[in-house]
Amino acid sequence: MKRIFYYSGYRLTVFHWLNEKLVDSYAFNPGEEGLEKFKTYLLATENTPVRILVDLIEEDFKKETIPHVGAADRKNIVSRLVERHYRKSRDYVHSKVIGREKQGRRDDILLYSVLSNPEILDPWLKPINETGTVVSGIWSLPQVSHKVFSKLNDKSQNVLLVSQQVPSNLRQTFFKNGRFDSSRSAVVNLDDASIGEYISTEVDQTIRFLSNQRQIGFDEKIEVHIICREVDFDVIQSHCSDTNLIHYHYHNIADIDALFKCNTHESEYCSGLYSFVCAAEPVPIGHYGNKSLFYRYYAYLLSHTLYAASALTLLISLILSFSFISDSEILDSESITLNDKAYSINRDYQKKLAPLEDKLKLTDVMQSSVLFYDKVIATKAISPQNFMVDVSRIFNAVAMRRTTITMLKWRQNQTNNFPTNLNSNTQLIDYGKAIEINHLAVIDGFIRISQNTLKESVDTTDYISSAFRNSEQTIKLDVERLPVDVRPESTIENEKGSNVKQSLSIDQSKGKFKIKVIMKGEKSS
Amino acid sequence: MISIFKHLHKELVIFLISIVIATIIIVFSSSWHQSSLENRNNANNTLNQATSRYYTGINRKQVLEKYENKYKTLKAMGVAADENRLQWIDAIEKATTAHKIPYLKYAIDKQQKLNSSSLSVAFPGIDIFRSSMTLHMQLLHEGDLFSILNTIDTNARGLFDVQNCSLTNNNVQAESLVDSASNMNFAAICTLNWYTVKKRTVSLPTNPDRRS
Repeated sequence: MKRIFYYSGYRLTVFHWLNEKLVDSYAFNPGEEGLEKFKTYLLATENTPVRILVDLIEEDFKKETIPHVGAADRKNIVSRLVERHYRKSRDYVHSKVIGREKQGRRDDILLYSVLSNPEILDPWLKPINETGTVVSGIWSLPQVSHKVFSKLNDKSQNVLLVSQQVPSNLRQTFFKNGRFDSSRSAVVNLDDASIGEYISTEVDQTIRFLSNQRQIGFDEKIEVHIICREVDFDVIQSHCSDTNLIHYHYHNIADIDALFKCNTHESEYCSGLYSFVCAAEPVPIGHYGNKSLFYRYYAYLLSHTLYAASALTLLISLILSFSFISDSEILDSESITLNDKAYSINRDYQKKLAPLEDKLKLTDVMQSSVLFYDKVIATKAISPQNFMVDVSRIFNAVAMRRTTITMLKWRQNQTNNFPTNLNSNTQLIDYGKAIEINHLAVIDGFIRISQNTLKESVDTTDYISSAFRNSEQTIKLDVERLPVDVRPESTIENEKGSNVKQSLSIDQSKGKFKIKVIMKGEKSS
Repeated sequence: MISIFKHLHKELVIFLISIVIATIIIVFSSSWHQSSLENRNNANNTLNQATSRYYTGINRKQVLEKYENKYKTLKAMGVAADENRLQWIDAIEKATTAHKIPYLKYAIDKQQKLNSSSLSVAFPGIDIFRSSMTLHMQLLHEGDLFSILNTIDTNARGLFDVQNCSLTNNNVQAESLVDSASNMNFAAICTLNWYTVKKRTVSLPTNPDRRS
């Protein structure tokens, strides 16, 4: 529920708004009795924040041109202006820049409003302070009336909005080019004249005043919107006649209520309507008042913030803990499923594999032993027997007949190059390496050159070396020595006709050959 | 501003209490969650271990089915067992007699463990031992060398390879072996490596303090 305290300078009216509905209103007259009742009301009702809406004759609106400066400097200038004219009204000033001059220094045009006699509020602020009532702000009725003006949807250059909030006052607010410009309140005594006469007279006076102030030109048209009770329509219309420059519009309060979609049926004049407009202000920052007046409102806001923060903290912690707990439930359920699976697998293991566990531990040993054995067996082809068979195949029958092998040195070999020391037999085969094993051999012998022509010996020599070279099994060949060298740079000597013993001796000394060879094994090739 | 807070004792106390309660609730539920998470992770690890053990067992069983019989044969052959030098010698001596080898001298060195990183990688779980055997022979014909090696291969219980062999013709003066008056026409020296394998034993490192 929102509470609006409307103060016209005489009586204070309290409006209770629940959304768009006026649920209650109370009027308190000045004087001890009224103030006592007001205090009783404050103590009896819930201490919800109050908005005070002032509609006072003692509210002045002025325009000044000031240098175009920053906000802090402007505040100082306004303070000086107010200090000069309204010393007591320091806390009851509201100002805003409404534009800039188009020529010269292009000074700011400042519109400021002042409550020239703020003491008028004191009798009412006293019980408010005494009861600790929370006040969120003091709003100026003329300045909130732009909301009403905007609902009238009048785009004219000069608009005068006339309304009667209480029987004794008539408020006229002037809008220039759609913006609030100035306002004045006039005292009405309905015993002396009808409201129609008052409005007609006051509108004329106001227009004259505005013309004199050069806020409107003498030939400018002005649209006058009068918001009044339905019962006053006839009497007002009878006194207010349209002219070339003045055009009147009449609005029933109920029609304006409808535009705002609110219900002020209990309010006789426009005070209810304006209290709704004030209640509907979204930002709770008013136009007037000392900060100390709103101290309790700040505390109220802080209190509510703390409550909200407490609730939010608890809510977040509950949501988080709910999230943790629900997640924990899922995790617990997963744990049970996983444990069940593990149990099932372990049971299968115990049933199928546990009896074999001792043997299973030996599988590496078994596999490695068998693989090692297979590897050694697979290289059995690399043997002196097989090498001799391969050499016999390479030497054909003729070559075999013409040659005698005196010595064969054979060994297993695991490189494709001749070792530096051929006589060393300490080189072991590493079966762990994926390198092929081959034959390494040194063949010593001699050619029976005494029993053949020199050409036949040369042919045999050529045959032996080319036979090894052409063999697919040969990886590397080194013919260290050959018996017959027919190159021009060497010497040739031979003899014929000696006996068998002499011939053998000659062959062994002159027919010597030595071949080093690395050969692939037949199976591994 | 501080003076405002002086009037908000209740609200501040409630706010602080709500923070304390919220902290307790969050800590409690978080620790519960943490405990559940640990339990789930433990259960997951247990399952992974069980699964791993099971499938390792299945794989090992397949390996066992593939290699067990052959391994038993290797044990029977004396390859995956302690070496039986006496049996080798017996086989050599019998082969010498059978092939009428005029002269044969044999020597077997001490057994040695083969230390090679490539062997450890290629054949994990076993230690490989080698015993080197040297044969000095005098032969009538070069074919006798091959006959005796083949006979040893057939009759001796074990695994060996021929590391090296040298064959020398002693009788190069004769026109042919038919003309030779000797039965020691060839001299042969061969080195054979006898291999045995055993389950690897992990030797503990020596404590240097105790050594001193």
